[in-house]
This record gives sequence, structure tokens and C-alpha cells, in this order.
Amino acid sequence: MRNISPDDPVPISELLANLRPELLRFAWWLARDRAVAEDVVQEALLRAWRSRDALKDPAAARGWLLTIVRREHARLYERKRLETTDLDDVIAAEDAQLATEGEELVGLRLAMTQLPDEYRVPLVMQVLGGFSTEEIARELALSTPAVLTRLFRARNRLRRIYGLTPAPDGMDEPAV
Amino acid sequence: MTHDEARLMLGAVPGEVSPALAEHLAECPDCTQFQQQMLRLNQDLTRLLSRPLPPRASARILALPVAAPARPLARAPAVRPPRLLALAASVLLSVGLGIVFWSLRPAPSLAAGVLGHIELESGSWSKLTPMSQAATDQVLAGAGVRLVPGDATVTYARICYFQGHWVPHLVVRTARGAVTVMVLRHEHVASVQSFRQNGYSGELVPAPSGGTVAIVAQGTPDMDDVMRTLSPHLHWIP
Repeated sequence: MRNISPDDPVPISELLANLRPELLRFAWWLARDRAVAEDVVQEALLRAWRSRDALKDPAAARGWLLTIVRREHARLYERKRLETTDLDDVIAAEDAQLATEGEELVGLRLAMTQLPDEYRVPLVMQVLGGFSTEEIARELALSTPAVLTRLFRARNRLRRIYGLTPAPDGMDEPAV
Repeated sequence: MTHDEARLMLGAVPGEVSPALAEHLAECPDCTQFQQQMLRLNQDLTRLLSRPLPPRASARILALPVAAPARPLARAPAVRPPRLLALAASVLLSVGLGIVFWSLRPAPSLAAGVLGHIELESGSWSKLTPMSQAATDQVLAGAGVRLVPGDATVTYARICYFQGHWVPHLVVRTARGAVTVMVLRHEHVASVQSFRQNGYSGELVPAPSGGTVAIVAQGTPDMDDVMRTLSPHLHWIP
């Protein structure tokens, strides 16, 4: 274990630059807005740079940065009390991309944009960020069963919006 | 394991199958069907979320005009041509360069990149509260230069992400007005390059400690004058 320093073979600045596209994608799925995502990543990178000494292991850089982005996103909403993005605006803004995207994923993208934050955020952390259930629970200050429930509900809503057949016995949300 | 417990785990963590869940699935075709749906959904979800974002419809920096105005100018020319002649020459040169550059579609110049960044942080010009020397030193740490305010005031100091690197970005208020200073250690110019564009005047100057310093002022001030005012405040560290 050692601190990353500017003398490392892969300097921290290069590390941050290399991970930026992934961070931006992560921020976009949290915010669903390109401009907000760019602001979040910019602030997160600045914060990461300032606290770069806290990163002991270069292999942990990705998770460390994704966590900073997630917190910066939450902080932005706390600070500015951003209004919820109008779904119609999101859809309109994404039209160009939808047109170039495989047809089979268009419905899923729309379904994802309709998911409430409480379901979308843990799902994005799990699928895109690779966080474990326990890590998500710790990060979002929830219990592990609560995270499992949210992840289940997220996928179950997607499944319905996505057009998959309902659960065999009609059960949408199990009791936990 | 009950159906509810099985589906909770299948929906929450589709890829993980504990021994108890496997035992339940072996005896429950309905939950197995549910598992198949969740696995398929998760595959599509992974594909969707892993796709690169499309470029912005209006890439702000790239949208800046980069061709004609980026023409390097000799610093402080000894003899200035008559204004009308200069204007005509400038127009012809601009049109000519514009056509050439449009056909070649060049990458944005360093000057255009600097101006694009400054426009993104246009609020930096309006800051009036002086930054502490400690804050300024922290921003300039490792940049090979120290800014000694004297009669000047640093009102903006930030480490910015610029063209793949973290660079100090400061606004210094001198007797000649506000000046933006960006220390670009990763950029190298052979000689001083002057530019005027989008209401800004600037110079890219080779830094004594390596790299380039971008100096930008609003309007069209005499940049030699600006440099003379600013230079005493910049102490280069070998």
C-alpha cells in the first residue's frame, strides 16, 4: 500500500483523465442531464485532486472516484435543490441518441429515465459502478435489506415498463 | 426459501445464486422463468449503461471559431501598417485562412482552447474578493511559478481540468485591469504567440520553468503593457 504521487508511472492526473469518460457516464445516469453530469464530474475531479493523498492504492481509484461522483451528485442536489428534471425534456434531449441506438434498448432507456431516484441510483451504482449491496448500503446510509428491496423494485419496474411478462404469480414486490 | 425470498434475491442480485436459492430454483419453474427474465434484463441493462455518451450537440469549446483569429501575431511590431491597409489585409487573410482551415478542419488551437475554457468559467472575471496567499500558493503548487501579489490582487484561483491536465487558473487584478493567468506545463510554444478573439486579447508565453503561460485580458488592451504590469508578480521557480 502506498500513496499515489506525481512521480508514479501513471500520474494521478492521467489516471483521472483516463477514467473521466466512465465517470461522466456514471454521472449522466445519476443525473439524466449532460450539463449537470459534466458539472458533477468537474467538481468531483477537483475534489479528488485535492484529496489525492487519500488514495492509497491505485487499483482502488475507480471505486474511489465513482464514490466521489455519487457524493458530489447528491451534494449538488442538496445544495441547489435542483428541480426534478422533466421527463419530457429528458426524452426530447435524448432523441438524437435514441435514433442511433439499437431498437431493443430504446424502451429500456426510456424505462430507466422514468425510474425514481431512490431506485435508479442504487441500480446504477450496482450495474455501472460495480458496487456490492453492502457498499451501496453503506454509501446511501441504508440497511442491506432496504438496498435489496430497492434493487428488486427497480428491476421489477423496468421489467414492467420494458414489456416483459409480469411475475408468474403477479407478485411485484415481495415482503421483506 | 419462499417464492418471495427467491424473487427478491433474483431481482436484486441476478447473478448471485446461493445454495438455498439454487435448491429452490431446481424445484420451481415459475421462479426459474423469473430468473431468466432478470438475467436477460440485466444483460441489456449492462449494455445500455456501458454505452459511451454521444458528443454534445453543441460542443462548447469546439464550437469556438478557431481558424482565422488564431493567427499568431508578432509581439509588439516595430512598424504598424496604415489601419485601412491592415484592415483590408486582415479581412483577406481571414477569408483566405478561413477557407483553408475549413477545408482542412483543423484541431482547435491552444489559444482557442484557452479562450473556450475561460468562457466556460466566465464568472471568474466577476470575482472581487481577494484570495489569500496560502490559497494562491496551493493552486500554484508544482506549477513552477509563485505569484507575489504586491499591488496586484488575486481574485480567482482554481485548479482546472484542461485538455487532459490539471492546470492553475487565476485571475489577477492589476493596475491595468483583470488578467487571467493559466499555467500550462504540458504545453510548449517556441515563441510568444498573440491572439485576439471573441472580445479577448491574449498571449501564449514560453515559461522560464518549462511549459507555457497563457495570459488573457478582456477587450483589446496593449498586451505589452499588460505583460509589463504582470511580470514583476510572477516569480519563476527553477
